[in-house]
Amino acid sequence: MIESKATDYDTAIHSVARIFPQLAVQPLKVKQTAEEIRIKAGAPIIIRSGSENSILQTIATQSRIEECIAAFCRNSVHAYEKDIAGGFITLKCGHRAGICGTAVYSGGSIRNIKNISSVNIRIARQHTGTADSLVGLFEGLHASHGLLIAGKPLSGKTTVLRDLCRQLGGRYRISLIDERDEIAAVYDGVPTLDVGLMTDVFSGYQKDDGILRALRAMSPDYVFMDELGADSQRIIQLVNCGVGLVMTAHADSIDKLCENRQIRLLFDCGAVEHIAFIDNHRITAVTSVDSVCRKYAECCV
Amino acid sequence: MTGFIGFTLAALTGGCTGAFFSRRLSERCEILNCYIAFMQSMTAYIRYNGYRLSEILRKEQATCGFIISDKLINIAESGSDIRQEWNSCVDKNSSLRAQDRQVLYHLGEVLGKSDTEGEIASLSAAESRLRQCLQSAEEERSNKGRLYCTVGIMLGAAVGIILI
Repeated sequence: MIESKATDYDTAIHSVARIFPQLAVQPLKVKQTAEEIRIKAGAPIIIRSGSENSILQTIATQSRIEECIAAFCRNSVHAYEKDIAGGFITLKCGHRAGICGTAVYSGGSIRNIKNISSVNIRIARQHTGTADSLVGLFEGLHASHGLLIAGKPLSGKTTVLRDLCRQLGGRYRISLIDERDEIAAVYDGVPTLDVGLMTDVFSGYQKDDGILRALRAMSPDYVFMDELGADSQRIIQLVNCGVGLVMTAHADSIDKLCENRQIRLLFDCGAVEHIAFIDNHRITAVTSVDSVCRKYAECCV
Repeated sequence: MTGFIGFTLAALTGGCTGAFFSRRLSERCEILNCYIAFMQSMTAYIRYNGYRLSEILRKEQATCGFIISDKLINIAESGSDIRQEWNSCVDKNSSLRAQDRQVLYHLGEVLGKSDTEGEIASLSAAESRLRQCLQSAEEERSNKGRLYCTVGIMLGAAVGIILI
């Protein structure tokens, strides 16, 4: 658990504070360490800080949750339908409200979520300096052309990716594919978090589309994106164009990484040269893919 | 001479009163037309631009021809319930009839509550109901507009004659 400014918490609850006033009057310590606010119909609100839970006396109701959704969407559900179908709504300053309810399918894919019963507000924080030890990988003649930032959920992968983007964005041309608007936290067309001077933000693009357009339009030195999800062919195209790749993946060990077929393909095609493991917003290990492949040759073949 | 002036004034007052009521009929048509145009613009904004409600209201505020208050825009932006302020803005158009208001009140209840298709369907339904209101308003204007002026002048003249 790491502490941050209470203002992160305050901006995260800004839109729901009038619906649940108790959220606004929490002790400073809770505000500084809060990671999530879990609101579920018929249950008390829980503020999660690391492994500690603060359970409020306020019981959320279905109608209050609907009010929350209207507040997140700023009375414009139509403008957020893609987000809602994806299961989350990006709030100001990059906070994310995950939503859970009944899926409405159309044409084989989720078109909407109705009867929303749970909301989970994840508090985004910009911690500068978390990627300091990774910057060295991108310096000199043998600058890395591919970095995979791996860690378990809530370990701080996105925080490190954002800080690395901010630091490298001052010296390289970077295209940031921000599919979920959580890295640069683009709000009304303007990034609300610092992602670097020369960083172009492709906000809301799917990764495949974003990579293609970045290659065509912005001639980047590096493409940054959160969570692997692009087509392997598109990434190979990226590598063949000489563009470096920095991205994140859910995995807390090399074994877990090697279990992922798509990640193994990235190792094989040379898109990833280094892997950084993150835990609790800190870099715990940096290793080269060559050594991983040697060690896990059977797995990689 | 005094009698003539009194007659003229009474006739003019009656004529102006008739013209005022006739003008209200025209205003109703104009306001309904403005709301219909607003719904068409809104449909386009939602379908092609994905604008939020507050953005649409802000863009239309200066040119829509009816009242969109700053408070309404702020409430829409904050995510609070817009119904009360929307209804209050509708009520400021005094020439609208109860049936016109009902359509607009209902629109205020559903605005921003559903996805693109749902929003466009709601706007389309409200537009067709407003078109019916407009049709009846235009018929009323053509039937009663001149009648109000004429009756006003006649009544004014009658009062003038009585005064003489």
